[in-house]
Formats: sequence, structure tokens, C-alpha cells
Amino acid sequence: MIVRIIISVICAVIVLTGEAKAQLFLENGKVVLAVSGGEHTNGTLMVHNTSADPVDVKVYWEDFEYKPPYEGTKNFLPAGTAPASASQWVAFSPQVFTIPAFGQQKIDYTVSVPSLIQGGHYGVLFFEKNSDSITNGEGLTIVTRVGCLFFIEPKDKNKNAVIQNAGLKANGIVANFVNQGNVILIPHTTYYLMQDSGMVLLRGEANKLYVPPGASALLEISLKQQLNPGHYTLVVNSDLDDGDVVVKEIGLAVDAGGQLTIENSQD
Amino acid sequence: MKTKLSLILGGLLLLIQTATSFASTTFTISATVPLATGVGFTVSQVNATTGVFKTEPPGFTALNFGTLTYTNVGTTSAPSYIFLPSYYWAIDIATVGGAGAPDTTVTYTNGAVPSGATSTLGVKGTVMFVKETYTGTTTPPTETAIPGIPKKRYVDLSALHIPYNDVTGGWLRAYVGIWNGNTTQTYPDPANGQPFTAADAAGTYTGTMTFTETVN
Repeated sequence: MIVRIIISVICAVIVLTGEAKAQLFLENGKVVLAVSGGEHTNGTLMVHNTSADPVDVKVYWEDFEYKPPYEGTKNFLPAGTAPASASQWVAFSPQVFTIPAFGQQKIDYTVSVPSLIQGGHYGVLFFEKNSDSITNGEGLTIVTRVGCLFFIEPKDKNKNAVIQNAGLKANGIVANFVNQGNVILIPHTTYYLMQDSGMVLLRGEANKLYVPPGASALLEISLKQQLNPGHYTLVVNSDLDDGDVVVKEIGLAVDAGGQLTIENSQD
Repeated sequence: MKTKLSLILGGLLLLIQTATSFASTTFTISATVPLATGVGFTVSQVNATTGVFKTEPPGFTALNFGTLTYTNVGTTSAPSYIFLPSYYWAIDIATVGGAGAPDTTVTYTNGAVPSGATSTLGVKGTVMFVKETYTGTTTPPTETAIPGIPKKRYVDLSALHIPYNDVTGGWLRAYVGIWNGNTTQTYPDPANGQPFTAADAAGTYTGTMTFTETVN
């Protein structure tokens, strides 16, 4: 019932805000599974046709990788070509179907994890609307598809990360967020700046990052106001979910001329 | 005696009922909105001279420019002839996010070229991404370019990423056309594009543009 209400509201918003209307609507944009070696698990995805015409859909798997600078941009790759591909683990059915006007279709998937799982495995299940092709003249065929991301990670995953190499940028601080674990990390990073007296001067949120194992991404922290001369401590807090946190304290100094320098940093 | 006993028992019963009615129970109510994502689109043919939109039926996906016309884009004294269509296309992309805020990734793949062709549709076509926003029910939508994404050749769409935030409150529109080299129009053509000229092989040039919606 709740899902129906949500879909109705979303469709109503689309009608009010634009002429283009969603035709394929996937209830589940992301599946996150914590698994053990040898485990078999299954689930269901639901895709809706929110238009007044039947839609022919094909379902297929591709791999994906977040690409530098790791702000969310993804590369989609053929199934089985990414190093951390889960394509061999996931089976799904049906793979081709027609959804009637305002209808819906359930897709069942099964995940079969090998006996030994090392690190996270990923991929995306695409739902593509069949398209007509150009038959004569110059032209483009338009293809639209929605994807459900699969994050299949071991229950005993390693989520180690460090924040290092803090430096200055215009009106702010930058630092490298380095993923030393074996799964993709999506840190939600907040920060606050403390005066010598212990009073908090400002708080904020850093840019969102999507960092694969072994990769490093740039955290950007904006100091939104001119600081008075003195000493400050910047506390950076990257929340990795499930209670895992990476903290960095960066000592800052501002001289009489307003020049900002980094004095020290510690974990 | 019996009356007194009845009154005492009645009083006790009343006390028990009152106490029961004041006992509180806490109900936890929760609802989880899934990271949903959706996509839909509407295609319109736009008259290159008048700018008038003609909306195509739902499900229209084959954007044919038809047979191009040999057109003078220079001056009378210094003519410069290239092949151009009489229209271009506008694709309105609806992304539905719910809690998911899906991002759009656009890719392009070259298709068929005629025998003897030395270039592809990918270098001859251009695409411009804009955000459309309705400011009132009786006025046309307001149009703004997507930040940091100038007009491009099709072939330069290499997993182009358009964050959901860039179209929040409106919707994404892609203008799809054939390169004419005009650098003074609202959205100037990229300098690295190529026109269709009399030197190009005659026949059919095709390609595929894919719009992908995923959450992050």
C-alpha cells in the first residue's frame, strides 16, 4: 500500500513538473547483501510500466565501477569484465517480457556465493525498453534503461580507511580519503572547526565520495567564513555506516595577515 | 453488611478498571521508502526555422533526420554548402528518484555507415543538455544549460554523467542535431565537429544514444 502511494505521488510530481513521464519505474534501485562463503540467497525486484501503452523489456546484467574522481560517476562494462564482477553469482528470471499498460512485473533473482569470498562484488541489473531502429536516412536510435545496483559484500568485510595528505585550497582544506579495505566505501563526511577555547565555530558536510578498494579520492572542506588570527582544530568525521568511522584532527593557524596554515594532523 | 461489602468490591473493581485504562502501550510506526528509480522520455521534432515542437507518439525512439538538403551556410558572395536537415530533435527525459535520486549516464555508439565513408555520424552530430523548469502553468518552461557540459559531438559522449541535483525541480532535455558550424547560435556548435558535405559517401549513417538511470 505504501509503495503504491509513493509511486502515485512520484507520478503526480512528474506530471506537474514536466511533460516527460516515466515509463519504466523500478522499485529497487539498489540491493545490498552481506553474505558468507557458499551462501545462497534470493530476492525479488518489481518493475512498473507507468504509461498507457504496453512496454517490451529485456533484462540483462552488466558490471560497473565508480571512476575517478569518485564523485559518483560510473563506468558500465560488459558482464564478467570488471575485476570485482558478481556476474557469475547472480541468476534472474524472466529476462524478456512485456508489461501491460500501468502493469507491473516481478523479477526473481538468486545469488550463489562461492565457498570463498574475498572482498565486495558488484554489478547492475538493467531493465531496457526495446527500441525501434533507424531504417533509412541519417539518425539516432534512443535507448533508455534503469538499473538496480547490486552490492554483494562479505559479512566480515574490511572497511579500513585513512584521511591523509591534508592541504590548503581556496577558502578551505582538501585531504585524500584512502580506501584500504576490500569493499566500496561511500563515506558521509561531516566536519566542525573548534576554536582554542573549545567553542565550535562552524560545521559542515564534505563532498560525497564513492571509493573502490585501493583507491584515493579528494575530500573537499569549505571554510565558509574568514577566520580571525588564532589556532583552530578541524575535526573531520567520515561515517562508513554500521558504526564504522574514520576521524582526522587537523590543527590550523591563522596569522595576523589572515594567512591560513596547517600546523599538524592526527588520527 | 452485604451492602457495605458490595460497595467495597464495586470500588475495588472501579479502581482496577481505571488503572487498566491508564496503562500505556507504545506502538512503533515506521516505513521505509526504497531507493527507487525510473525513466521515461518524450521525443519532439523541432522545426529548425520556426522552432515549433511537434511531439511524437509515446515509444518513439528512431530519430531519423531524413534526407538532408544541400544548404548554403555562407554568404552570397562567399557561399559554403553543407548538407543539413530541416529539423532537429528534443528528447525530454524524466528521471524519477523517490529517495534514490538517480543520476543519468549518457553514452553513444556509432552504427552503420555507407560503403566508402571516411567518417561516422558520431562526428557529424551534436547534442546539448539543458534543464527545463516550469515557473507557471501558462508560461513555457525556463531553460538553462547543465553546468559544465557544453554542446558536444555524439562521439564525445563517453559515459557522460549528469547528477540528479543538476535537474532537481525540473527535467532533462537533450537537443539532438546535425553539426552546422554556427558559433553564434544560442548553443554554439563544438569546434571539433564536421559537416556532411558533398565529399561524404552517400547513404545511411546511424548511431545509438543510451540514457541510463541508476542510483549511487
